[in-house]
Amino acid sequence: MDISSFREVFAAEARDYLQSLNEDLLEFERNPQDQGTVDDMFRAAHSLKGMAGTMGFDELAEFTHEMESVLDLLRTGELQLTTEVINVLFRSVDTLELLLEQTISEEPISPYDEQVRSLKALIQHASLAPPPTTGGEHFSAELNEFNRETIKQGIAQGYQAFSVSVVLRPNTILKSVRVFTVFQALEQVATVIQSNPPIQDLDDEKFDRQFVLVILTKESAHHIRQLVEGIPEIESADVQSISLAEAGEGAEAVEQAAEETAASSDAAVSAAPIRGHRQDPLVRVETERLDKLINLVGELVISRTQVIEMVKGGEATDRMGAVDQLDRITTELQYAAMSLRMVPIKQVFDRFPRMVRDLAQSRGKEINLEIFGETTELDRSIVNQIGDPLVHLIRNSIDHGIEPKEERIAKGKPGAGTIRLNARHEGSYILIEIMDDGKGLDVNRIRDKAVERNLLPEGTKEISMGEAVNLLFQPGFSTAEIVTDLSGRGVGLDAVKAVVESLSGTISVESEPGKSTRTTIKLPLTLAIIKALLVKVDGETVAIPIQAVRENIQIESEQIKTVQQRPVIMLRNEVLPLYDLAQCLGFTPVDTSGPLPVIIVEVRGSKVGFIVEDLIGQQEIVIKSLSGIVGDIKGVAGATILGNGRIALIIDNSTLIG
Amino acid sequence: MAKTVLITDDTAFMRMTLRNVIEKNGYQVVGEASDGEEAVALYQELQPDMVTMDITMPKMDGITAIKEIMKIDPKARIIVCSAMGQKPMVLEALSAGAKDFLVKPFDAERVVESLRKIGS
Amino acid sequence: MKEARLDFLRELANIGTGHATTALSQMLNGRLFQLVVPDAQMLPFTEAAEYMGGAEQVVVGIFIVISGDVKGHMAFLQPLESALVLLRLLTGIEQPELDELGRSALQELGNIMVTSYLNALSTMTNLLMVPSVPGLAIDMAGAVWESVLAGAQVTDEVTVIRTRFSADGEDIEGHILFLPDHEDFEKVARLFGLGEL
Repeated sequence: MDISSFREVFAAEARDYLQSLNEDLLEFERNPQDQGTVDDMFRAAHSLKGMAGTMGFDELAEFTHEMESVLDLLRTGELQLTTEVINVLFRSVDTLELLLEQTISEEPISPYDEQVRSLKALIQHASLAPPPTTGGEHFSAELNEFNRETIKQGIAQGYQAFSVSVVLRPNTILKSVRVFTVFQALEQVATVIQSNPPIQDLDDEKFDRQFVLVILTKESAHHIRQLVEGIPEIESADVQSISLAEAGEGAEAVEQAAEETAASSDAAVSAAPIRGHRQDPLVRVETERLDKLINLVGELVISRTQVIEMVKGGEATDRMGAVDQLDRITTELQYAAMSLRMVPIKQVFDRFPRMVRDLAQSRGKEINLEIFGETTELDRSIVNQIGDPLVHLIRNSIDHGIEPKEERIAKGKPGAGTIRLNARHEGSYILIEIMDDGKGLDVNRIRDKAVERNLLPEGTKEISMGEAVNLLFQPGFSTAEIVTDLSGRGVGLDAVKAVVESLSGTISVESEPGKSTRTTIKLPLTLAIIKALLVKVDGETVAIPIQAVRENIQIESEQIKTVQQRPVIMLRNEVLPLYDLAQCLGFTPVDTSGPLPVIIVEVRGSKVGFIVEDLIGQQEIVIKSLSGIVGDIKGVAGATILGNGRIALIIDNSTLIG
Repeated sequence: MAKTVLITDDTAFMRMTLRNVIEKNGYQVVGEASDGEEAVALYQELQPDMVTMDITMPKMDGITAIKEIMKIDPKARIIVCSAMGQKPMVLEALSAGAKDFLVKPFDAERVVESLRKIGS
Repeated sequence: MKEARLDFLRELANIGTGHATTALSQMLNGRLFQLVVPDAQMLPFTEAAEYMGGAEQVVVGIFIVISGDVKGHMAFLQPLESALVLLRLLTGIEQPELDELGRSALQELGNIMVTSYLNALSTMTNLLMVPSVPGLAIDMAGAVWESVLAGAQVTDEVTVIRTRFSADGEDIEGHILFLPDHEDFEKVARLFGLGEL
């Protein structure tokens, strides 16, 4: 990332903040009692100031600073909200927008002194006003509906609810860790059900010295206070009881509010118990953190498997309840974590309209591109890799699919061709279709080409559409005579297939000659966790990705035949090459006497049998890549850790046999 | 009776500094360990009321030592005293069972506060 | 490109050294003041020793290996006289000696400085940088230089950050060397929105 794209990130984020400032101002004007809105605005201004400062945008930082001061006074109640204040703030946001755009595009900055003066006037005005009578009280945890209910239930069960207002000593180092020690201490005797500021802000040290926790406990207020004040670097802890009445009344008030803002309440109810006032629809997360989370979830999945195995081993059926729970939670967590990695395929699709337009023009064709399902989400790492194959396929449609206008009209087709790009979910897969209404696959032409390239024996007469499609994906078969400007690499469809398979996906082509071609790519939603068939090979466990497995059969050694000095088996009139998986991986070859389990696996479009020692079963496994020293091993896609703590290699079916 | 403390730090100078502060404030230093292994052995032998624990040390680091000591005595009161002030490490030490952490350089008062609060 | 890299290192140096100096000052009960803004220089390997006062000068060096998210090497080098001034302030002994306690004090001092430096960078980048147990060497600069760099991924140039302090009216000089492994340096740079440096 160079500095200019960093600037873009800043601009995007700053515009978000300005947008929310605008919305919050509108909301605040309607509902001035809502402390949350003004807190949000203050935080937005504060963040904006910090970001602008970091980027060295002094004018922006300076101006935002003035705005932040005014919002701070509003927040603490030192400045009363009047129409004038609102108007000044609205104008300030406008000024800020102008400043931002001028800064980003490096244009000269328009004077903004006057606006600064009006903000300063508000600050001055506040300092003349009498101090507010409610000083200090604003810093409390405003209960949300969910937690009111929790408190009501807790009280009914004999717990007490307290709000614990904790003040850290000035200059406390690692404030977030200190907060952690407070949580740690409290959680021995209490349940923390809410925090203000929200726990994420506490963790990011986005608070000064004070925070409030709402807890349920059976201990006395005095004891809680002693407990917290017994933690080093805590200046004070004020413990206030929260009564049932408050919880109840509050709940009604909130219900009313909820009706007024029915649209936003849905999001609030489904949120976690501890959270902030407002749920932002978008969060920017560092990818490294995501990867860490995914990794953790992976570990959790492994540990779940361990627990299940442990419990299965014993007889304690009553423990199964707990395990079911663990199972459910980890599965949910797994999906939640995965969702963080998911990005809309729009990112890839977005570049196609321009590409199709330019290419169509240079080829003298008229082409309409229709895009469907661009909001379909899939794993970030897949999105990053699927771009090139799609470019290739679309280019194929333009070059070889869609006919020139005159030819189309002569055939009675509309003059402009259509390419349709469609993405959609199907189970735990995503399907991407590239369809064109061009001339379809010319089976005879493919046959001739294949014969020419020695992919078919001389004199081959009829081939089926299926065979034709298979030929298209053969290495060395390419009907494209020119290396086009787009990819510049002249990759064939075999390369497209290789990429798709490396992503554990499949690709298929259907065509109606003269009318259309449809290429379908089927990809797993994510690559981090996959379903695999576990087999035993030379005493070791090996995992085969389930989408590569066609079927499992059992054969007797007599059924192994030899064709051209290679072992094969007959399966429903098909001759399949047979390999010993152990041998392919460099283990001791399997003993071929007695019945042999054989896994039929698809390798680069054709079926191949692998003899294994034993079948173990299906399981979800977490892929850990083999990095560094081990490097790329042919036939091995990675490794996983099994429930028993042992390591299993994951087979890469596309490179297993050469 | 004065509360007893075991000091763990790999530098003699820091052990001396800590000993001065601790003894001046009415606690008794019963032992000094210069690495994690020694701390675990001395903990078992001396059963001190509190332990100060450096993190970066030869042989066995402080975090491992905390885990080992907590295995021996789940009620152990360990105070981390280290220059290492990076959140993940400190959190790891606390999760392992440490009761407080001080980031070097620290002043005497902060050490005393920790001994007083953790020791009670 | 070199300029951008140097700028970036200077910025890191400013922050890291700022924290390290604060830590040092705290150890000396506030008797230490930073005199100049730290100055980062990128020098050919051979000139670096010269820049720090010549290969013949006797220096006290404290060096660590960094592991964690960012790997590399780091050292704090001082002329012997400067180290002795610090030692006097630290221990209160008028004529400090480099006996076991003296060496141990210097080791701790260096350790706290470099760790504070790393703590500051860690907070800023959210990357973990774990210092090893510090090594101490008192010898001619050339020799210490070699122990510091043993195992470091040194390309042809190294970055040296020179700082000057004053404590109790005396001038103290010190050099901080921060030698992150190349790829990890890139990682840090990327976090700050800088690409290939």
